Amino acid sequence: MIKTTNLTKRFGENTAVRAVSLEVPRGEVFGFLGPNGAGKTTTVRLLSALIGPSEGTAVVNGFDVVREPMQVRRTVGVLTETPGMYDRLSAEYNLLIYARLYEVEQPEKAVQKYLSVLELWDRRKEAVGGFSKGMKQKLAIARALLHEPQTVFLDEPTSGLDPVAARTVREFIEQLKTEGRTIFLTTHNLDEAERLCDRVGVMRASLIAVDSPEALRRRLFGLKVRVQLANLADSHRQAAAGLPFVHGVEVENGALLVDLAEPERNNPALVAALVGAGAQVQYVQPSEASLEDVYMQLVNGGEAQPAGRGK
Amino acid sequence: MNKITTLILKEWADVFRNRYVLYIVVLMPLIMILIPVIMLGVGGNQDLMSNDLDEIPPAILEQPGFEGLTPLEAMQAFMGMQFNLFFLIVPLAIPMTIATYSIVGEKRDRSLEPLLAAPITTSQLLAGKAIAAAGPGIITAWLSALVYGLALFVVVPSPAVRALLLNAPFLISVLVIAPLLTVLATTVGLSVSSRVNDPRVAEQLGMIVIVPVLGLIFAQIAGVVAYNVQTALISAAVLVVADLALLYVAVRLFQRETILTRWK
Ligand SMILES: Nc1ncnc2c1ncn2[C@@H]1O[C@H](COP(=O)(O)OP(=O)(O)OP(=O)(O)O)[C@@H](O)[C@H]1O
Ligand SMILES: [Mg+2]
Repeated sequence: MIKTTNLTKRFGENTAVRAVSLEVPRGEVFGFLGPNGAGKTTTVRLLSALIGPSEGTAVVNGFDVVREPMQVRRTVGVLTETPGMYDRLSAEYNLLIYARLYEVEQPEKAVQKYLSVLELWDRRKEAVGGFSKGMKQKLAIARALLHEPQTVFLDEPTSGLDPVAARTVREFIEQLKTEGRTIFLTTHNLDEAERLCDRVGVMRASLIAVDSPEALRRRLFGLKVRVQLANLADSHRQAAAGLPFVHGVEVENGALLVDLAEPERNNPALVAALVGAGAQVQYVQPSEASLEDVYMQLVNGGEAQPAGRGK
Repeated sequence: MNKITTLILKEWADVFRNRYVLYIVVLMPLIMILIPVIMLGVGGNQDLMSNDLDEIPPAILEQPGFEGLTPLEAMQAFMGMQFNLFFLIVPLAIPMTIATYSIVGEKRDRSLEPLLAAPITTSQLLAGKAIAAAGPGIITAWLSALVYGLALFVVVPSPAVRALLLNAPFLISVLVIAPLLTVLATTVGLSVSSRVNDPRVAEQLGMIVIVPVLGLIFAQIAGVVAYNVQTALISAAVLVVADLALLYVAVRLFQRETILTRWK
């Protein structure tokens, strides 16, 4: 559970995080998106009580990050942007240190559990310096979970991983979700956000928008139906535009892109009107804006505020 | 296991796998023992020294406590006393090296952030780092002093000369000054490395504080400053004050947020 009010972090003149108010309920996978330097990592650091806010408050798992930082740290797991393992020490010892620092009841058992789950058990005695990026990342994820935290912060968990390793990590995140943990995930991979997250927040110093990917799509692009015609003509466009439930019609790649309120109810009438106007209808498909379109619109569009460096 | 113990063990496991640190910790005490022992061995050798013995300045022979020594013994005693403080470089250099590498190295490898995200207090972290650095410093210093003392039984045949070398000021330097210097080097190392991101830079900055102390040690070796019980106790008192001040500075500088972010 995460709740922030007006959370702000300044580094000198630079406002990295500006007045972020956000609520992430227990058990949700929340995706945190935004361009480089948007303040995602800074927000994760604020929420994991690593740095203090300049203004505003944040409550994580019921604990205030400023007044009860120790309880916050105890109940959250953090995958930092860079794994930061001790390269000269073995995988097992790396985890054991953390199991002890987090006062895990049976450190060896927890270490064994997560090394096995993440398929690193066979290589537990090896120095981490020799591990691939993917293995280090998995190890760092294991380290973040040893104490079974209620809330998990994952800062770019799949960045730099090959497709197979990235999938392993994603599947693991899905599994964490089924265990009822709150997951706060930052990523530049919009596909991943779309697949994993219940809701996403798009950020650029301040929070630009928060909602489910689906709702953001609707909000920004409405619901559109793509009607492919064999004989597209302007009269067809006019026929569609004349219907009372149609908000707008565009022509895109030889098809009509019709913006309407309730596709399920309105499509039959739309098709009938088009056929009545002499159109030869080939396909009728829902036109989904991708989360990438949404992101581009939010980050570059009018709603976006200039990020990062203030005056 | 106690969190500070966990931190200390981790520190040692990691830092002693660093070749540079290991060289310093092993070689530095060896050098600091070997140089005086070899000098005394040579200085106490009748055949090697015979030409010089006639030219010993009378001032040396007339030093307090030198009555009744043969010229060769006086020569050896004089040389040995100059090395009275030599081994104190050990408790200065080793904690400084370990402290800077353990903090700056941790920043550079980005392993500090997950560590700071763990439920440990800054005091626990500071204590872990400090003990991990100071422990080997004081242990190597005492071992060096012990080995040096034992080696004197080999290279210094005269009990009278040995008594002059393993005298009260020497014992004060081993038992009082060495631990105080360890604390000094540790706090300086911790403070400096909380603000920089290159261990070598940290070591060099640390040296700015260490150099005056080294200067005193070498001044004593050169015979400019007399090292006796009185000056030993004065030095100890000054060091206590310096240590307390530096410890205060280290605690002030060692804040979660500053060590995490104020170094890029
Ligand atoms: N310790 C710091 N001192 C000064 N400025 C900082 C510090 N940490 C972050 N910043 C600044 O805050 C802003 C946000 O940085 P942050 O690392 O949170 O971005 P991010 O969204 O995680 O970016 P990325 O996608 O590249 O990881 C940047 O302008 C950055 O330069
Ligand atoms: Mg980041």
